[in-house]
Amino acid sequence: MVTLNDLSIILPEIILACGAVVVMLLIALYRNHFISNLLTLITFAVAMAVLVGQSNSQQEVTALFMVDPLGIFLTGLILCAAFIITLMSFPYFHIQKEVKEEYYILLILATLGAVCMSISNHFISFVLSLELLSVSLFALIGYLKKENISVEAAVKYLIMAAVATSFILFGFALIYTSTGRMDLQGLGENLKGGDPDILVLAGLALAIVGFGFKMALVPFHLWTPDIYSAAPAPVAAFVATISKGAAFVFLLRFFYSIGGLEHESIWIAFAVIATASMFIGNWLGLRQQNIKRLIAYSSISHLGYLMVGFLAFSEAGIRASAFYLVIYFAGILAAFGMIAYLSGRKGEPVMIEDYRGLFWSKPWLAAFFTLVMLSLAGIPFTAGFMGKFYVLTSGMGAGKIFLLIVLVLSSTIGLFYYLRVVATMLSRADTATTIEDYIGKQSFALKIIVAALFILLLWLGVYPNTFFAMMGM
Amino acid sequence: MILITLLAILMGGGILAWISAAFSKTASRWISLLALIINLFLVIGIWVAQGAALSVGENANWIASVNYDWIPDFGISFHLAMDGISLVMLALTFFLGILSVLVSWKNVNRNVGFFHFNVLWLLAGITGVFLAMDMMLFYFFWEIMLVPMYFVMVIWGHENSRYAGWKFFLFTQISGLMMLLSIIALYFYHGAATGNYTFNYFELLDNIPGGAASFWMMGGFLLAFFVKLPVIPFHSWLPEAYAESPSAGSIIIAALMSKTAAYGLIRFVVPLFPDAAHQFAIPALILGSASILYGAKLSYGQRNLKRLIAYSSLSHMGFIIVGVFSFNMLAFQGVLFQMVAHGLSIAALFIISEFIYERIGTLDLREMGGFWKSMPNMGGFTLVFVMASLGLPGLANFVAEFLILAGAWQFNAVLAALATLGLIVSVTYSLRILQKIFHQSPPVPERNPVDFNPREWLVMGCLTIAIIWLGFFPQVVIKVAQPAFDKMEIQPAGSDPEVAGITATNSFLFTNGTIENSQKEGEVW
Repeated sequence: MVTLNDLSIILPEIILACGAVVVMLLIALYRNHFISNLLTLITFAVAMAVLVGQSNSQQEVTALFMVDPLGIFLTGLILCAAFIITLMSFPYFHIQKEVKEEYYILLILATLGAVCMSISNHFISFVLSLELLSVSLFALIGYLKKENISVEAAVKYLIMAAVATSFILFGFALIYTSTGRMDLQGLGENLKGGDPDILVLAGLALAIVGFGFKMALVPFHLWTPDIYSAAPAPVAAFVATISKGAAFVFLLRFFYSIGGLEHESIWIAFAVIATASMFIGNWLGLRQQNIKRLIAYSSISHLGYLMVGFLAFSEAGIRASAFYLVIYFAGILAAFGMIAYLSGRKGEPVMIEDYRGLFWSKPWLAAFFTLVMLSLAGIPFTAGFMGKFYVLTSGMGAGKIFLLIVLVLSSTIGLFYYLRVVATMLSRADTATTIEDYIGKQSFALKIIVAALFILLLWLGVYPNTFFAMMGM
Repeated sequence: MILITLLAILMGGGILAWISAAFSKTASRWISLLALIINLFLVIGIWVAQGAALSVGENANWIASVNYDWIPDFGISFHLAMDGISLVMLALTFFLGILSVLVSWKNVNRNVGFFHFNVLWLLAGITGVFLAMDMMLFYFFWEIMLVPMYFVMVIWGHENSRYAGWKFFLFTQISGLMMLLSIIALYFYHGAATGNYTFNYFELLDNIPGGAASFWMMGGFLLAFFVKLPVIPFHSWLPEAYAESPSAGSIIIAALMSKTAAYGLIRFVVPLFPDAAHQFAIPALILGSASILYGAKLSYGQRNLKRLIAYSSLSHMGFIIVGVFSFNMLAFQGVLFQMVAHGLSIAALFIISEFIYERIGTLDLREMGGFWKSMPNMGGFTLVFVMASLGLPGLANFVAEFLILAGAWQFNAVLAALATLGLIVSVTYSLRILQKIFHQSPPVPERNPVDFNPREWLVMGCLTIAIIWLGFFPQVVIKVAQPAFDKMEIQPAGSDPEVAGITATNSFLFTNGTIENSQKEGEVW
């Protein structure tokens, strides 16, 4: 029975749903890119305001949702990221010839899916929000439908996501067959302690495959670079941050509540996936000439680092993962924000060569981009280092030294390509391409985003205390 | 508070220098020079005041300190403290900082503001390393040196500097991360044993780890320090990084950055892991001796002047390893003195190579020769530092190497004898510098470079005075650092009776005035 109190707890989600409807109706009445964008921003802002006002306690809303501190935190993070992506989208799509307004409906719906996923407490709610997210993303990725490459990417994502979902569904079905439960609490009671039977193990294995697709962990990562390089920069940012973050949180909730990591074979499976993601992600990044593909491989390795926090299987591990997600969101959003900033009517500057000599023509932008790269690489005094430090600490606390050494070694490999971008910006060859006609020049919103992320990346790296306090750690 | 002032002047000066370059390149140079001069005077002020405080005894150990909470959730604090060792190193840092700004006065013309910003922030990082008393803070400063150094190397370096910068960054980064793992492990070890999770150096000292764990933790630290020092077999980044940097970069990286590693060994490895360090002593001495000899051999074979000097640095750094792992007072004093003396002499050699490069546009030794005729002044100064490099008595390097070898002799005579060979082979490569540049028959298109100008006279004059003065009065430096060493010597004694015996012998020797003797020897010669 849903009570009024229950509704008030999931008010942010309800606001998002209403926002999508409002934007849709408005488009029917009056088509205007600016107003659609503004309404979307307001929707996210109101949802965020409601969220901030909520109590930070654990509350169950029917069997389907569980609003707990982790869920609230992730909801807030996702809403902030969605807000930034919306801001970023306005100048980016304003110069496109496509019909723009429907983009925002899809964006709100995808965000709604992600938010619901992060508070899901039941297989049904998870699968529904997963589908809401994925279906919106198919359309978003192929939104610039005149670009063949975008449509190709959308189809690719459609097939991959469908396969992943079917793996997850089949896995869930097997687990249900064995235990007769679909809510995480019930599963936890059923599975904790004893050895899970073969059906449950098979189900978990299938689910891991599905989650691996969603989070682009090696060896299920193959779609990532294609999708990132073909999708519009704001959408790529969405796929890289929000969609992965939401999937990760459900994974965390799922495996922590059924105590899955206590089972050695499952732990090892995840450890292998994490190790492979760290190494292969960084390794494949080495030869990339396309900056969006480079970020794709970087994000694969970052998800690997995130898994180290997950594998610590402790309270500190959850906190470290949550903090790392913030850092990761900030870094990836900043990177894609930079690409959006410098894109123009001729398209996005996707090749690393496009940035040659940027340090001398646009020193502030280059300084910002250098900071982003150093943060992704995890150099001290940037946010990336604090995140890595937190994950390392949680791993060391849990005694998983092997994973930590893998993390350190692989992140050094990653340093190669981050430095390559920086060195390219620093070099002053005669062939330096000048990016003249770019949208960031006029867009106040983009300037604000870039400045805000610049400050955030430094602030989290130098003095994260206030942030820890805000997170309520 | 004075410690924060030192850092603030450097960082603020760096930003100011960057901004001011938009108006005037010269202003940017003067601002950075002024910032460093102010810092040098502040440090000298402390040094002079310290002379009186030394007699106070116990309390004189920590001259100044500040401690603020930084990230209390992790027990990380902003804790800076200065003792005699830090004081000496800071004086060296600012002195050489001034010289590197002076050397770059004419030859850095592109992006002058950003250059001085990087140099000052680099020096701020080094200053921080010498002062940090919180392990995480130390790591932060340790790593923050990398980024400006990378910029200096890549933007203003020679042709192949991009590759050099890369190699340098990766080597130091991976070893630094291993040290970070060790630091975190130390944090948990201490926290689990005492319930107090902290990165504070002094609190960590209360409960130092033992057994196999301490050996692994020490490994992380050693890796970071051995790479940066560098020691065989971690030296492969060295020739490129030293040779491809612009002169200011070469001076800072060779004369100061390598000293941060030596400082780290004395400050952290020996006190935090006394038992493990003692167990590791023999392998470390072998590595050190090998570095001395192998570095000398490689140095002799080089055609590029800067690479020759770079490998000579590898050879001299071997002495530091030998000294640190001999665990006695004489050797420790020698290590400190070697840090200063080598800092001065290597900086001087790099400066000379820069002056030659400015004049003839190449560093290839085969292109040089017969320069004594046209540049007698430069020849004279070069002679002084070549002699310093080969350890001529009367110059600072001799005192340092003598003390280290005397200390090492008591610990392990065979390896000390091996290391002593280094003094002989150093003659070969050092004299080769002089011979190739100034005396061999000149190359076909004869060059007649002009001799020193007043700025160059000033730079080399300062260095020459410093190195001769320290050669005759080493006590000036050693006395300041002595309280710090006295305190430290208490730590590694303890468990191992044999080691305690050695320590006792040394303090006996020391009280009997070995130092005074060696100083007198210096004077006699």
